[in-house]
Amino acid sequence: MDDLNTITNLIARFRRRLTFAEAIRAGLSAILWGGVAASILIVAAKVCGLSRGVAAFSFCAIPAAFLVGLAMGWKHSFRSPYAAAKLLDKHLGLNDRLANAHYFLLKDQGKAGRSSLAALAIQDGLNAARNAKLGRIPNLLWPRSATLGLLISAVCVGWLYLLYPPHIVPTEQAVTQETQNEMLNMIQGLQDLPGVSAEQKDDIKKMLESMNISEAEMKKMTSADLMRLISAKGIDYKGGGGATAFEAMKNAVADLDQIRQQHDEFERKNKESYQFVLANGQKVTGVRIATQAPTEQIVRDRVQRSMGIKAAVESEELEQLQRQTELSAANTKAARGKIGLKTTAVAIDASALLATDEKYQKDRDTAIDDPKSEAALRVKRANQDLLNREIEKGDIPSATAEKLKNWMRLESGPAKKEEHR
Amino acid sequence: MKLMFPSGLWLLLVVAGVVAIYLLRMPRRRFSVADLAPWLQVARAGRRMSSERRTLISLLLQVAIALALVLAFARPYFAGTDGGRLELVLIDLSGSTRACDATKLKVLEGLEKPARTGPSRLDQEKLALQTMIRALNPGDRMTIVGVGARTTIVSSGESEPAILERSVALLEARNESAAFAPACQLAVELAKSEKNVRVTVIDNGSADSNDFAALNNLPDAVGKIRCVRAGKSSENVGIVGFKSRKKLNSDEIESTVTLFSSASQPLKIPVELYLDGKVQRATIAEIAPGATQVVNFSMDYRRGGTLKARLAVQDALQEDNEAVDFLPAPHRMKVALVTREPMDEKAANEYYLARVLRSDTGVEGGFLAAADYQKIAQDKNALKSQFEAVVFDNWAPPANELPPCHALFVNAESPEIPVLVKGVLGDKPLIRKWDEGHPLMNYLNMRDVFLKRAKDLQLTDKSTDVVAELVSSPLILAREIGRRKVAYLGFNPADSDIQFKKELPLFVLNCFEWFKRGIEPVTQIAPGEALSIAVDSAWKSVTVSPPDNGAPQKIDIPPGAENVMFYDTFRPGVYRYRVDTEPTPSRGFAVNFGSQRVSNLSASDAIRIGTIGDRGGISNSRAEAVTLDALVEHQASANLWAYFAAFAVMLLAAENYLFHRRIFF
Repeated sequence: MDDLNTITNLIARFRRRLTFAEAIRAGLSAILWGGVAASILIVAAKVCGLSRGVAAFSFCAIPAAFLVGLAMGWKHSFRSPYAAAKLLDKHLGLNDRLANAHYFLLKDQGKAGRSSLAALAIQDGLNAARNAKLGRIPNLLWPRSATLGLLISAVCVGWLYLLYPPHIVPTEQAVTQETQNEMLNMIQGLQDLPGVSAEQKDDIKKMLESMNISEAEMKKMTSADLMRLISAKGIDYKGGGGATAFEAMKNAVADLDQIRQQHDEFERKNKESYQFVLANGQKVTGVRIATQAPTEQIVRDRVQRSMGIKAAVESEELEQLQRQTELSAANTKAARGKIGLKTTAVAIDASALLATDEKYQKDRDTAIDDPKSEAALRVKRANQDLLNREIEKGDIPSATAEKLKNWMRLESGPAKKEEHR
Repeated sequence: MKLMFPSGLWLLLVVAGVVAIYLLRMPRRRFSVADLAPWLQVARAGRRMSSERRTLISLLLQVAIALALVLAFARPYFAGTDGGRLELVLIDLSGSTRACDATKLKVLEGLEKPARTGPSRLDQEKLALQTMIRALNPGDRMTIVGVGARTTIVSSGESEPAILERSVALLEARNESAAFAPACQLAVELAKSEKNVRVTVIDNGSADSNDFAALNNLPDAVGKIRCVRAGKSSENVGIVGFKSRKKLNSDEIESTVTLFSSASQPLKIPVELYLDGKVQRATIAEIAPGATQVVNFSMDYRRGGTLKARLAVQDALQEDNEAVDFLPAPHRMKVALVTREPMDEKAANEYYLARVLRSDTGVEGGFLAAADYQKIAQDKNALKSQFEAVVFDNWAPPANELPPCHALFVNAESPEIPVLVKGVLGDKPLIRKWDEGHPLMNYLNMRDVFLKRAKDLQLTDKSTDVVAELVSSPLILAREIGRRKVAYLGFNPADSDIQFKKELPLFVLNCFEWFKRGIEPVTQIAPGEALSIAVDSAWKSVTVSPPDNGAPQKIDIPPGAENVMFYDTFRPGVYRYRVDTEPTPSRGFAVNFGSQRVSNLSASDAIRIGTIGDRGGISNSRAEAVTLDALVEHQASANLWAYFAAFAVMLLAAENYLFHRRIFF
């Protein structure tokens, strides 16, 4: 009985293979229609004004068509075991030996005795089945329509690019990665700055919420687009000092790149030697004075200033110095007014002298004698605080203020430099 | 009947070709054969006409067809005049003729490029001119005068239409506004020597009627002046002015963009400022209809390059949506700080005066000990070429070693500041007065400055300015010697609290700013304007590279010349130039064109030419508005070619039908 099953098993195996191969073939052939459908859908998406992402869903038509083709191929590939046996005979060149054996096996099933012809046919089929080799993998034929289908799918991709050109922002117009990072850091760090009042914090929070531009959005935009967007958001924002803050943020987009570029140029120049070759061939070497290269801190300072965030006061004498400055200015003005002076020259008298505070006078005298003393440090801090206030008032143009800030950094020494970084 | 294209009659040679072909097709020579030959009888039986006659008729038909076609091509017409007239045409070639009036106004997003719709005004003007050329009678001549800022004669008394058409095809709009007044005067002069003249003005509506007043001087025989207007009123926003400059006493650049709108409603236009293709500033300008709006941009002066202002908008005239200027690279002044004693690198960079130099990004500083300076001073060329300013701190060289550049003397006397040191004021001298208006005193407040001691000076020269003074002595002095500037500080900052105050860096920074002041190079000119390039005595030539990689032009510098002229500046854009000693161009200038007259695309009133009456109006205008169709006076007969062509086609059809169907033959 086992021997007889050999024939039916072989035929069943071959039948399964045939079904599988035909289903795959039908599926592959259906890719052609999938490609055509995808092309039509892309055009329809474009006409309907749908986005590129939505239009890309049209490509789903290709695998869908394959699956539909597969199902239909499976359905259409149904054939009787006898028909499969005939095909197998043809495939193996057995001249219907298996088909005959299968026929007699089915015909005489359940009967006790078979005719000798049937028995001979079955025996012959059995012999053939024992020697038959189907191979490990089913024999799949690649349909020509599948090649065409793949070609149409490739054309479809090109079609999508043609109808929806990719949005590639040219390098010179894109917002650089460094600028994006710097701006995000700057925005995040604004609220944590020293000297920010609770009211300012709320204001900054509201402003940042209204600004809210994601990193992904930034990547898609040109620098001009980003500036325009910040401008538009600045107009929409109804907060107090928002307009100047938005303006500063907008300008930061371009300034950061320029500052970085200038920083590199200065650093390169600072490393060059300071040497002169004279006409007689003699070399004279001096010391290059290393220019303080600009840093992103400049932009941060501007943004902070635009938001009304003041630098933290480091000197105890600031208030007194400020008061005295104002007082002396008022005295001078009054004195000049009394005598009717209208010239541009400014004259002062002893009563208008600044820093009448004894402690400050003592510190100042010590500082002049020993510029590295503790007293000198206190005097420097007091004067730097005063300068910060003047810069914050906006009386000094920003470029000059930047140079003065450079000077302050250099005067503050290495410890302060680290803080600024 | 006359022909519009008499040259087309050369095609009559085709008729000779047809005749030649028929000669070849003529029946073969006859040979006498026996009349009994039965096949000859059979051949003649179905024939209605002899083959000789048939061929001849066919030839005549073919020749008639060829003649009809050639005549159609030659455009025959019946002339209205006998010819011999001079057509004097003034055609507007100003920048506004580039406008495509059908283009819709819209704001551009991202990388969106502007598009043009419909023909430009110049195309329409050319069409009008070509129509006029086709309407010329034999013996007529045409003089075409191109009108821009400069008047040019495109074609002078030309009678050959083909040549005229070629000239018209080559016409291009110029980056100029149309100056019709001199062109009209030229037209009057040209008309004086002619008997039969007709004047036609083809403009695009940007010109003012007053510009045509000179045409009223044309003789009465000239009659009406035909005025053809190409284009219609359209919406446009343009940049009519763009200039950038360094702010005074500041390292900032201020760019001013002037916009004009000829739109019919208020607009919000994105204005962008680019430096070498990278956007620096952007804003949205609100502009009312028919109004001018100024947009100012301010930015740090960190780099030089091509500055471009751009309106992100699509409108009728796109050329005026961009403007350029050249920004020279910021100059870092070469400054040496000279002290009596040498210092190592660390000490030199930490020195209080060096820290001021380090903080100034507009300075390229170096430190030299007095001994090293004196070595360099022996080589006058090195002294001249290596330093632009020198700061002498508590030490000054002798008169013969002074640098030929700007100098700041700190607590050190020099013959260049003639003062007499009477002694030292050691009892905390008080600063009494300072000149706030002097460039060295910008943003300084000397009121707070405390001095431990200062020099007691007496000024011996009146050409020196006292910038600040003590109660009994000058303290800070300044002097200009030719192009050189010299400043003097009569105290040691180390003996004062000025070293801790902003006044010291501000004073030194102000010194350098003052030193840098001078004649600014020209960075922007209008198209066609000549540029004078200042040259150094060491230069031998200047090579100017035009925009868009045009062929560089070398200008040789004659010995002793202080400047050379460059004239080929017709193309807008940035021109860069380099001297023979430079590998790459570092200097440059921009040619930029902007004009409200060109950007204003709203229609102006019809041209009126005539004597201005007491009330300022023109009662009897000599100008006659003419449409495009009306330019051809023999319009009806000009379509004769179509009849000839139709006749040829009919003959061809008839010949084909009769010959091949053999109805009669």
